[in-house]
Amino acid sequence: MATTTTTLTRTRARPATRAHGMRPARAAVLFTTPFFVLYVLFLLWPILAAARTSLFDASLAGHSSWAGLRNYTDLLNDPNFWAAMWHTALFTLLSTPPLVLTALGMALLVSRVRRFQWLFRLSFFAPYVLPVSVVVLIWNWLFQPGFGMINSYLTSLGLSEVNWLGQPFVAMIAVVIATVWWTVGFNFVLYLAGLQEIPRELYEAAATDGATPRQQTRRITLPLLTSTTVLVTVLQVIASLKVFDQIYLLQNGTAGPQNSTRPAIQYIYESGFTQQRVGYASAMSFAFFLVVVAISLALFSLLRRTQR
Amino acid sequence: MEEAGLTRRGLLVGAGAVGLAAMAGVATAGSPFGGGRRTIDFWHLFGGGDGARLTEMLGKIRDLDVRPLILPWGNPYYTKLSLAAVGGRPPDVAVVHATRLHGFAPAGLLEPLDAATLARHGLSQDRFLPKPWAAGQVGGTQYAIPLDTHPFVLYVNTELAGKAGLLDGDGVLKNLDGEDALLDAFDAVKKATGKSGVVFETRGVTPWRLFLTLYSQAGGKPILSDAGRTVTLDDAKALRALEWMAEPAKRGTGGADVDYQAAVFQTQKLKFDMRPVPNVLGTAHTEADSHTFVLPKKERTPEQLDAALGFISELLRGGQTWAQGGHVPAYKPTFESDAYHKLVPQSHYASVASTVVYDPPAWYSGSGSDLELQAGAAFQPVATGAKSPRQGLASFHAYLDRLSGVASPV
Repeated sequence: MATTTTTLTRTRARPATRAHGMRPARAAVLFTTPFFVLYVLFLLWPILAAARTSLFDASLAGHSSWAGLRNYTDLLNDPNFWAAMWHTALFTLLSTPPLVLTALGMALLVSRVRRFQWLFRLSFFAPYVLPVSVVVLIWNWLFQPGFGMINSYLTSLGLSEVNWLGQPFVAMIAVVIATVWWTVGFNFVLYLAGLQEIPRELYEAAATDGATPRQQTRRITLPLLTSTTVLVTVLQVIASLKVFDQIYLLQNGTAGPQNSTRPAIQYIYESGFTQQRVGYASAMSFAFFLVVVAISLALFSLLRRTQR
Repeated sequence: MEEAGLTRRGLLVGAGAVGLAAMAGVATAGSPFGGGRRTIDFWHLFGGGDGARLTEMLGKIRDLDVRPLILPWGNPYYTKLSLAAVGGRPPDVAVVHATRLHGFAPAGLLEPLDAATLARHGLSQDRFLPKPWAAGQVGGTQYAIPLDTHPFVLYVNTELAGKAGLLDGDGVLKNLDGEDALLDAFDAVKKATGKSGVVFETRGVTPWRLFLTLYSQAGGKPILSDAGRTVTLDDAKALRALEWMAEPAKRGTGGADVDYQAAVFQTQKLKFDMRPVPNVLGTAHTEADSHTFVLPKKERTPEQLDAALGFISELLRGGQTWAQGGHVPAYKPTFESDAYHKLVPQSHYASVASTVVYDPPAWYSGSGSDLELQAGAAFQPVATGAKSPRQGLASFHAYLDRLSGVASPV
């Protein structure tokens, strides 16, 4: 830590006197320094600190003793940890396809609208700007048994009520539904941008050759959107793996019906702050971090291949 | 540019000054030296009816400026309290379940209370029921002053129970002690009315509360010892308790509708009574917990300590209001008062205060704790018949073995 700060002050002090003669490399260093400092302080350092803490029986109350790899062997034997990892994986598997496909469908439809297109763009994106607490409040009411809007519609159609928040697996579906409504707007905007990059001439040429609108979509639009789809999917998987807040709030901070929703990050939080086992929580977050890094690297190599 | 910058800065300075002045104003208004009343920051976890009754009790306190903060019960509350205590900024007084003291006191997060100081405020041991008082101790030191004890009880829909012939001449539930009487009573109500009229309380984690009650009745030793580092669960007695818990589902008189009914009693103003859980397996015991007052560790002047204890003492004297919520008062002057005995059905189970059993002390046990949730996950399938008592016991035992081996974080 100390060394970083000293190099910092030195680079900052000198170039100021001869700003004109600066070599590009030095300018780059200068401009990236603020980011780099924050990066070291709030990302690299916490990661290293967590790695260190994970080797101790560290407690929130202050005391700490050497544990070696015991926290890691403990987590391998902890069914709650595996359940939480599975819930995160399940959420990612269930939420990614609808979040990608719905966004694509909405973008394709909106791009065809001639009048009031801005209204549709705004409406589909609007939920994304809501804070999570508001989203959860809305859906908590919608999902209520008895008087909740969804269940009222179901019963008025002659169907039976669904216990959205109180039944294993269904509770996870409920989270996915709320999340799709909330965040699909972001993917939708990415798809809209992708659509605008497709040259108009291609459609004109296709139309001249007698291609129907459906053929145009299948043979021009979708193939040229492939790199957007890969990008959207990659970003979505990473975002879904980080799920915590909407599940925590929808289930009132519990593990969900019969421990069926608690995601990895919530279990890490509970172990560290509620049970005060900071060492164990660090070991779990480190293990989770490695999994996310591995998945991200795999996805980004996929992304690079499609962009070439 | 220059001018705009200056104006903006001037504006910010001005706004900052106003803000500081406002803060200073608040600070003097609240400080004990500002001529105002002494302030008490008070955290609790009571919502609903309990919250309303507490607000009523707080409203009667005139000589202190009490600043209450309500937080949701369970882990969110205890997380915030321990973080505030670790960070050195806890409230002056907090409500904690007695069974949760073991996650706070060993870590040095609570103020130990010596008998002489307590006596000065009328909070001596002889004024409290012995079991709740003892539950306020960790390692022989008093850390908490009990407000009440809230035992696991039986709810009786007197109309349905009457139809099934379960009431005596005074309209009171007959004695249902013994292994079969309560099960037969479940059957009788079901047969006579098609409904459940005698049910267990379902607030909180019912499977665990029922299990601890039955296990203790069967004569089981404390489930954990050595502050949770050793598992002393008596497998045979635990199995007996679980076998009884599996019985209602086998007979087709237990199940999901039981959970539903107790809530209906409370909200639909049905005629109902609350009774102690019968002595099913041999010794009279009932699972319970206590709401207690604690003083989180922080810098305090002797005056602040006096104010905090005076506040607790005043709340206890208003305990009759609290008792309306169904909690058995731990403060003897309230417990022994006529007013409390006239309070029905709340006082119908006051007698169990001498046979209550608390969660086994450990950093991972206590109200709303991981242990209670894990016990629920292990025992609920036994109660519905989805798993055998032996499977439920094995899964609970595996959990205890794992957690008892973990180095205590407190």
